[in-house]
Amino acid sequence: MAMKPHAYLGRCLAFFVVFLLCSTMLQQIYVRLVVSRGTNATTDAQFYSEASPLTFLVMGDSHAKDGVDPSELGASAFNFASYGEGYFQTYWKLKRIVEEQPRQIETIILPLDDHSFASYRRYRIADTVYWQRYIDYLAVSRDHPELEGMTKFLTANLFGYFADGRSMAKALRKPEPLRSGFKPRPEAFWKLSESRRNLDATARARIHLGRGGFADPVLLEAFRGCLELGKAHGIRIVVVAFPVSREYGDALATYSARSVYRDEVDRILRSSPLTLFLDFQQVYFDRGEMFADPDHLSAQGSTEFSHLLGNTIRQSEAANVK
Amino acid sequence: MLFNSLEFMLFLPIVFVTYWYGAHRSLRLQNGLIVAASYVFYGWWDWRFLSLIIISSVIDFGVGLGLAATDEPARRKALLGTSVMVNLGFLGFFKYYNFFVDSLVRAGENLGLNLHPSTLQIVLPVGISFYTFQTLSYTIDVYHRKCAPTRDVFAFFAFVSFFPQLVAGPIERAKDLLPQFLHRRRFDLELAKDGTRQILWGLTKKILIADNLAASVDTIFANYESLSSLELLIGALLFSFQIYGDFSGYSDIALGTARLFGFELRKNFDTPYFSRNISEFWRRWHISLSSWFRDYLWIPLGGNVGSTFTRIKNIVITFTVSGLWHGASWNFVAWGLLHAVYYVPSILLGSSKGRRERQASAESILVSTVRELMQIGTTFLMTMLAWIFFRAPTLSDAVEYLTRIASLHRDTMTSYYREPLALIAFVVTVEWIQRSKDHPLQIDHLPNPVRWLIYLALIFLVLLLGRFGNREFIYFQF
Repeated sequence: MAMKPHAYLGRCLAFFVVFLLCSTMLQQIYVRLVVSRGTNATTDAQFYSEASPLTFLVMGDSHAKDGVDPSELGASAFNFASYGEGYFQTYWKLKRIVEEQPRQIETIILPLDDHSFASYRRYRIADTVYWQRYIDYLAVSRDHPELEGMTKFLTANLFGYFADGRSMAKALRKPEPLRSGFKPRPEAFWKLSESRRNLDATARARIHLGRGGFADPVLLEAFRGCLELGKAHGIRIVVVAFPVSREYGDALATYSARSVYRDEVDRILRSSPLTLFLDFQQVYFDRGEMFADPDHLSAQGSTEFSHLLGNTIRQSEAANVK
Repeated sequence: MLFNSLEFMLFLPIVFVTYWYGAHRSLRLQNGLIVAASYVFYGWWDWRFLSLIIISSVIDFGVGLGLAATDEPARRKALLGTSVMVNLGFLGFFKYYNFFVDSLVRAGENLGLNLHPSTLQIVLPVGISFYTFQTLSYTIDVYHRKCAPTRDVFAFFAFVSFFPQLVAGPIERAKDLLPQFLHRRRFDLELAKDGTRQILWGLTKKILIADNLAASVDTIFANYESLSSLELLIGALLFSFQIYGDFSGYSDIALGTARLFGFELRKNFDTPYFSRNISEFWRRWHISLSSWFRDYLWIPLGGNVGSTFTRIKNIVITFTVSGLWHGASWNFVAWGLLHAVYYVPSILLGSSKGRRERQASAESILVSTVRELMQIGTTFLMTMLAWIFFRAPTLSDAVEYLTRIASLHRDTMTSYYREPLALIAFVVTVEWIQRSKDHPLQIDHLPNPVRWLIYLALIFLVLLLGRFGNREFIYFQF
């Protein structure tokens, strides 16, 4: 019997090399087949394929992505929001857009919901490979060590597939078509029983706010950064509280997240006088058919809401002119 | 430190290399390194509670020496009593103090008395139920002269704190594990290779199976009041496999890690869900704890000797204490009692503890007989329903959960649970095919490239579909 584990360590090393080779191959497959066919990359491709100026550019998370149909805003528009996007990501994305100016932009629409500054969103930079296009992870690592920039840098470049097997399975299907970055969702929420609607709404609110930290300083700083970028480049910013179902609204009320961040957000908004804040949170409280789930608008909901949003912005502009 | 954490991925190779390249020259160095590594491993969670392990070790080492030095019965009893009092005292204070105070207050309220004893903010030290039982087994065995007391302090401290099994078992007997600390370990390539495979399978069960199922289980148990009976049954099914993947996964990692250091720990799980009756289930589930209760509680109570009433009483006491060992809450007591009830028919009818039960189901053939499949199905269903008491936050929640299942309430499903059910099918299939092996990755008969392909496939399956977030092992709370 050997005293030392030379042979064992040799085998482990050999296996590790084979593992790394396979991992590199999988990473390439992931980047080429999954990331490039994903909703984010498809949206990017559509956005950068044209150079025409835009009256409205929608950015933010799934509330904005599912909530605004650009063709219903009544002007040239593009929905550049992405699922799971927090203000930290929005800031980096907006920074690149205003610096490189692939398209001229008049107004940017951003979300301001109860969970917009919830701490969990700062860490939730899923899809690290895609976000590497916008976020300099190494700079993040230097400026905000707590944001795990180095881990994300390594993940994006070596193990992007990590814990994302479900996306790989989806990528085998045909990519879903987007219309100026938008894809309508079916009205499913109102078909559920009342108890199920409440259950779903409570669960969603728990995901958004259950972990506390409603006024994360990093996210508030990123929000301030977005408004300053708009101001510096002469772009008007419209901040929108998106419509949610009554059930979700009731669940939100138990957390009172807005009261936690209100003062700080008010200060930020006052420092950008051209910014317009529109609160539509309760506008469809009694219309379940407007929702695909507790906090996302359905096809019908996004159509009606986009009309409403476009008209409201135009009216406010007219009022300002007067 | 969690087995499924990045820290452990760094910790294990460092300790391994130091152990075989730095500490291999002497037994004392090997044991000393194990003690140091184990204290780092435990102290990573909370260094303050290391004092409990050290006090337990010092007292039981001393009690062992004391028992070796005297034949006087009264003195020996006093020494054993000291060990039992200290170990159960720690357990009683940290784990059961608030439970007994709360229960006393409620009992007083029912009798019209207004009691106001104060409860304390007590943090339960991780693994206290495991290492106290392990050290107790040493002093009890030394007292009964089943095990020789050791004079090697390093070996004893290493036996008590051995990091692979410190916080969630297997609960080793001194007569099995302690002798392994008394001889210098030599590296065994085959043992290390098999240990590595067992670690891989354990991580698969934890990260791929248990932690994925946990997400659905948490949602179902948190919202059981508004879910259909079918969905609640699915919840119980998913939890049955979550706890199996979690705990048997931990045991596999523990056994595999111990093998890397030249130790053989006892098998803790032996495909328990393929059991054909409840007594077989308890010979296959958490074997180290079941046999501990068998040897130190059930047999001293009289075991299977005496009148039917006495035998039933012994079983009820053993399972009730076993339930209470798992958690200081009435739902764990109910879980234990329910298993006792399941056990009673085998006492009344006379159990068959023949060779057949110790064999794997459908030994040497691929498919069981219909009769055997029905036995397996019935046993699984019984254990699955009992798990509801284990998972529900309170006894009344468990009863309401079961009542709602029985009400045959219908509603739309919140999810189709395709992925969780597919994961269960995966683990059941693999374990069924390999049920006669110590663990499913004992595939030495296959050519090397095929084996490597299987390991790689499993690793990538875990990396792609696993849940990562350092979710603690369920049994850490016990």
